[in-house]
Amino acid sequence: MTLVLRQVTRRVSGAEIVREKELPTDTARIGRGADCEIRLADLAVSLHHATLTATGPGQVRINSAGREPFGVDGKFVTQADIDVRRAPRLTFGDHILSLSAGDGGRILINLAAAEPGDGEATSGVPAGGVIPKARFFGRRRIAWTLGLGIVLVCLLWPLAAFYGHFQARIDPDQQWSAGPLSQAHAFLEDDCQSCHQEVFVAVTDASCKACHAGDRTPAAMAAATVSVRRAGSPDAPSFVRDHAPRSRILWGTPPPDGLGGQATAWFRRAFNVPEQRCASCHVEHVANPVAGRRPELIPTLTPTQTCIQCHTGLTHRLKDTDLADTPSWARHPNFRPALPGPTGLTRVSLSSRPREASGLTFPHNLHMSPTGGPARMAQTLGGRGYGAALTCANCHRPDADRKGFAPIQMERDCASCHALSFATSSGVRQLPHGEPGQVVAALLAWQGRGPVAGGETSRRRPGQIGEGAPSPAGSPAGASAVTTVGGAFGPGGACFDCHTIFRTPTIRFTPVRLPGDFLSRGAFDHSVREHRLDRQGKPSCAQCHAAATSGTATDLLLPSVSECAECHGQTTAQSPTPAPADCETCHSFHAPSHPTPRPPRPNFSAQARTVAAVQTTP
Amino acid sequence: MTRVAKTGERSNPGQHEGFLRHGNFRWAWRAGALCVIAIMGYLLIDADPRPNGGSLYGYAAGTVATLLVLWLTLLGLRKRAITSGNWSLKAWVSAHVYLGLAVLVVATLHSGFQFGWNIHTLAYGLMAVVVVSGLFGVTVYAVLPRHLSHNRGETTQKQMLETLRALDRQINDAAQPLSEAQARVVQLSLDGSPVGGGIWRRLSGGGGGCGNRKALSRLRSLRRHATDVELQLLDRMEELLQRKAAALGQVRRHLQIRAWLSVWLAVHVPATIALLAAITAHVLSVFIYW
Repeated sequence: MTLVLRQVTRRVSGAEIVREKELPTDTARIGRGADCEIRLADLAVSLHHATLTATGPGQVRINSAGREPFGVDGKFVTQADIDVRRAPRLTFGDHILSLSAGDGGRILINLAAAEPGDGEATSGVPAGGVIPKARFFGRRRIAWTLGLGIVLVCLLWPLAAFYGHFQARIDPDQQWSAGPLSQAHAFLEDDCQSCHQEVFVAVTDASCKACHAGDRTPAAMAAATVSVRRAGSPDAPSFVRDHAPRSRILWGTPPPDGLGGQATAWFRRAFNVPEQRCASCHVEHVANPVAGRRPELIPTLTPTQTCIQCHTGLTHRLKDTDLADTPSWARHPNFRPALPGPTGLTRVSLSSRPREASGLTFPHNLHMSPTGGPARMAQTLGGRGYGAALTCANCHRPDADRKGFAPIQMERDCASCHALSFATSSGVRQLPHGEPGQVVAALLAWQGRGPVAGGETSRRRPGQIGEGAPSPAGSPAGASAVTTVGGAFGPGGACFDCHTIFRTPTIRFTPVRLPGDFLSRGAFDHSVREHRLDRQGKPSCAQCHAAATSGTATDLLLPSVSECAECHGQTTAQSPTPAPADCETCHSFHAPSHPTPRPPRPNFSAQARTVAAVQTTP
Repeated sequence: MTRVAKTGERSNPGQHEGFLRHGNFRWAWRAGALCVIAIMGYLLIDADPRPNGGSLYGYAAGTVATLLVLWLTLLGLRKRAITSGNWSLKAWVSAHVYLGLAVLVVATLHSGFQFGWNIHTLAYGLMAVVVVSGLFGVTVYAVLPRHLSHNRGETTQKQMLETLRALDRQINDAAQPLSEAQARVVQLSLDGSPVGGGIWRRLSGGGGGCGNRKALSRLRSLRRHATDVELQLLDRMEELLQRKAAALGQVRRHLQIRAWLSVWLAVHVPATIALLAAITAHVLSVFIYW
């Protein structure tokens, strides 16, 4: 039993060089030490690692010299009896001993170094140089991943969602929003398409009017309110009307001024952003949450034109307009009250000194005089709102919002003095007011039953009902029915006192035409303190309305615009009560006959708001 | 009198002029002028209701910034195209650096400082990442090459690695007579002293957990139980390990500087591609939801 050590080395060309050496004894020491028969230059191997002994034909025993094990066909052991015919593989560190049976009972020990795997280094320094970088996060790979990912997530996904291909809970197009919406529109934050309805088309007025159009039936507007509330709106939408038809606004707008204006106009034309849309002035997405700028209550207002810009030279651009040019407050045209005319209400400038044709006979000076009959009458009436000489407030009652005045009602505002009741033998009777036919009928009916009681008495004071009714028509006792009726409508009669009556030959009244609102294109707010009280806190009606000196009802007791200019547009040096001269003080854009509400939307109310009258224009 | 250079000749061979100083800071002045115009425009034009990308100024600044970004991206193509003298690459890089910085100003003014969690701010953020990484790149290009030179001395990277391999062979041979425990310690140096590898290991210098360093410290503790013969062997081994430590330090520092010189590109280039995608989405989304 001879042990033969075969050392196999490999050339660069791949050819193997085999060196055979017959060992002198049946025992061979395996290790790194110089005294070992089988020497393995491997630091993982002990100096004397194991001893191999041939124990019989084809049989070997291997014992570890110390505690270090060795490998036998993949198993690590410290002692092994091995049949060489099975061609076992022993491993010591990186070296492999393959045993095999040779001729003549020789045992061949093939010694070879283990082949390193691909890329595996035999020492800290790999053969090719440094350990290569990991390529997983290569520049190109990251670039493609990021680029395509962004296109997919930030462009294609929202676009697909726009066309309805995804019905996810997430709204991918929200990432396109440049900034949060105003608080009023915040409920639309996740519904971009409520406004952006077509791709590459600027938000159209149709989107806005779907909720805000004020020219619909009340039912339609109520339905819109229900709809937006269901969508989560904190409030009912404000219903507005157009300032004018859009085509007229476009024609009435002056051409762009200056380089910036022309550039903007060119840009808007080139990129299909129409002018004078709702969204031209009401801007969204401008809040800046990062800078701590809270969203506005309502869309930010950015007027593209001032009132003055369009209303200067408007008559040149809109030839058929009935509006006068207003290039500035100082050149504001005088008021043009709407007065009843043959063809309905006609606006006539105060500068042409128009006369009022109410059909009434009412001298303001007589009633306002502190010494005349009406004053005495008022003193006598005493505790029913009277007691002193008449004031404006005795007859003119403020309307519900106290900004204007309720229409004069004869029964309420005049009848305290100008009573139509009279006493008969059967009691107090009341002549009806307003319908001459009914008055005649009432008089004829009374005439058939007896004389007017008042006719039998001496003169009575007006208002002394019950003690003896005044003669309603001043008819003498026993007069015929015709005479009595004629008396009532004739000079000195109860009706003739106030009404213009013709007897040609039938009795005809001039129709009473009291305009509800003289200034139909603007608004004067009587509830403003400075408008109704002077600096001493007394009513200042007379400052604008020259009632005390008006002797006839045809006097139009309206102040001219110059009265307003005594305060509005003045500085503190010029007026003790200076006030702004902004157009919107009296005219709002969407309802020019009303002042601009301030603030526009103070708070979101819990209740549904009624359709705001102030926002709608007749 | 300045000699006029012929084609293919350096115009001023006596003095090297880097891309930062190119043309007497020509592009720095031009980029500065662009920034001044942009800032003046921002301050003088009263955008209503607030400055943002949707105002006329905003669109103008956005267009300028987008065109600049597209041109800046073309450096990747330009540097791969060899031209015969025209379109100096140095001038191009100089313009790239200074106009790239100007983009940060123009795009910020374009945004009107209106930021949010949206595609528009994503594009802005990526632009800022690209510019800042580029700025970092310019800085390391200005600072690190002299350290690289200084560290390398007269050797090349290949020679440094050859030295390491030679040391490893010597260590391996010198360790053969050592005892098992001592050999195991030496094995730490041979097996556990990597050079290069992942980006973090390169950037940090790769010193942490170095097998060679562990081997050195443990070898010293083994000396207490060593025989005189072994002590001689260990002295020899320690000297070899010290030499290996120096060689490792040099090559790792070399790779570290090279890593810092190129790592910014790993951010700059992918972020640029991402920026192009984000700008596309940003511009298209604005026009889609016009």
